[in-house]
Amino acid sequence: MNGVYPILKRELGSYFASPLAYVVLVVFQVITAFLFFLNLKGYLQLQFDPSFQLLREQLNLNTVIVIPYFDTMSIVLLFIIPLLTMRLVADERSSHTAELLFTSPIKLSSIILGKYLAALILLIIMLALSSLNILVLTAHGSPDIGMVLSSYLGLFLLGASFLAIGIFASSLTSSQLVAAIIAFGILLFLWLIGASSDADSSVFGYVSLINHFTNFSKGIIELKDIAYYLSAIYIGLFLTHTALDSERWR
Amino acid sequence: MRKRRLIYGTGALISVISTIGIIVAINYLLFRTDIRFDVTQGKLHTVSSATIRALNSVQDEIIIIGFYKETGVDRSGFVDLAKEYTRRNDNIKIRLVNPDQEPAVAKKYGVKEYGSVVLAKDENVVKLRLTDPITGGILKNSEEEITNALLKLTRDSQKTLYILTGHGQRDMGNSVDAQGLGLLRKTILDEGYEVAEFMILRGDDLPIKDSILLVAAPTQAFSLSEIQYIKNYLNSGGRAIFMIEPRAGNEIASILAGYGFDISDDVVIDPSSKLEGGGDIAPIVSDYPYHEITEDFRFATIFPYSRSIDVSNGSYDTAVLANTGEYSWSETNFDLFDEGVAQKEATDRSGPLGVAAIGENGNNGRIAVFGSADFVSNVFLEFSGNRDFFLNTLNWISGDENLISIRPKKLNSGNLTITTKQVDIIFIIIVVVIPAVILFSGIAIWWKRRVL
Repeated sequence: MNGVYPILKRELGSYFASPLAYVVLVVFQVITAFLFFLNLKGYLQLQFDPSFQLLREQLNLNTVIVIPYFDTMSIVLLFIIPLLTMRLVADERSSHTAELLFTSPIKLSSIILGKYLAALILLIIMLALSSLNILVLTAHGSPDIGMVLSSYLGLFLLGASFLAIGIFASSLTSSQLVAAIIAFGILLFLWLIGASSDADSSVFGYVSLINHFTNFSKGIIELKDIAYYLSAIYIGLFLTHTALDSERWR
Repeated sequence: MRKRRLIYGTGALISVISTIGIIVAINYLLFRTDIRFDVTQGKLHTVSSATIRALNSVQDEIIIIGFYKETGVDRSGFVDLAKEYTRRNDNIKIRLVNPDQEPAVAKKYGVKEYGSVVLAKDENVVKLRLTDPITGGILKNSEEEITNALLKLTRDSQKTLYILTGHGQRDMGNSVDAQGLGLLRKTILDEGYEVAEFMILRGDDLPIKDSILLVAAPTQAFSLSEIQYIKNYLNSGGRAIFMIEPRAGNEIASILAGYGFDISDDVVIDPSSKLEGGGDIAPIVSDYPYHEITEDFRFATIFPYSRSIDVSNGSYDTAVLANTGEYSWSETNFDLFDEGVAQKEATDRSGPLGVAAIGENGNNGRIAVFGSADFVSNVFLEFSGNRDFFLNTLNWISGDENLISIRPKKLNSGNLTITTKQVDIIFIIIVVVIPAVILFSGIAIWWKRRVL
């Protein structure tokens, strides 16, 4: 895996040298923080709403604020990640650095991994920023930390799967816009495919990207859910490798 | 060139297909292992040790059938919980049925509502309803309900409720008329009991073990031999439920007096009870003296056309289970009552008045006495807590002490202690300050690079 680190460093550098990373981070933080704030306000109103007294026992930080917050973040990631991944390969092509890179002594798998890890680090920064909102909650109440941590694990795996699919989409074209649209299309398709069923009751339900996140957000870590996301990541990176490798003989 | 492309292309295709095939196989194997960790602080998704003990005793196959629509929070809540049972015992199976798509299955088990859950072992069936009508999710004490249903299905002997007939009792086969007890019969069957008719004069003998005698509002006189039969049954440790209405069943009332139940010859009037269709003679009860039957029971019940019951300790240890309100009184002037007039007079006893009582002796005998039969009639059975009140009493009478009580699990957080000012500060920090810091650091870096 020699060569992963230089690529990772180069990619991270170009992320933060351009406005893209900052814009994505700001947009992600503003949207998630605002929706978090709305959940928080809603909870505070319900807490003192006399007509809600029957449901008082159900009124809970985790069900009213934490779980919806993580669900919201998963949707925001669906829209934002194609923007993060669109340039990873497509940009190399449009700026004509692809030939140079792909004929360099660095192995193709190292190049893909380096680019992928750079995007993954950006995802980790996004999630770390969003944890500031949860810190606010822990200062004033006591959310279930186990549930919060498993939700973050789920969100990280979900986002990492999105990134792998996004980098594959970027490997198919030289246009960043087209790459983003393809990535968004694939992700939305994989999101909606099992929308009417759960991961246990049908093949479509199992294939759906979001159905495996539900357990994490409830505080359940299942081996099959982890295996699913690792598989999605592997398939995404493998297809990227196959697509780029095919350029040699096409 | 074309041949080379074809060779490479085929190789790539085979590589993609075989890689995806291996990944699918790995996923399938891991899907079947069902390894999971509940990381919530209160172990919200893990069943209690009482349930695990109950599951250890399940030797035969029991199927848990959930009747749900394709999607819904109650469905996913049920699946999460039921899976916990299947994980711990291979004899437990789950099946999900959409009643709209499989009406025959719903009909087989007499299911008419979404959210019904049936536990079936061969021909024995216990029916539950696990959807919370307020939240739309699964009931908080669903684990307790399912585990108790399992215990009922796995108990060694089948308990039978014998309905005494031959004295103008309420018709337990009538599910249509307001007065009938057909819905009650169905409810008792759903609770896992056998139901059979019993007539003393036919000469049948009522087994003491695993039997409960139900005497539901007799209207015709009992012979001396019948009275003696009932006394013998009770004296030898029999278990029985009596529903004695005003102005009827006085022979039974005098038998029960011997066991510490003083059933007055009256009608309970409660002007504060203004239930539509119930009126003053349908007292609403919300005062339940402490007993294991009424522990945690929070619903109101209604006892239409009821006698009042007092208790005195004798050979049975007796207790009143339900009291009417303080504005009720015991009306004994039936002449005026028949004219539709009921007035509280100085001599009338004031509320609270008992309308349900239980008693037990050291010989395993248990008796429940209700001053009304209407409270479980077709029209009033589903009113508020009536059904549960009767079933709790029935389970206690039958001696199902092994039925467990599991406290519903609670998430660990309570109120959020926060002031309006703090809420404003939070908004400014998370929605304005943090994004602004990121934005300005971005601009600063961009500016620095530009200058360089």
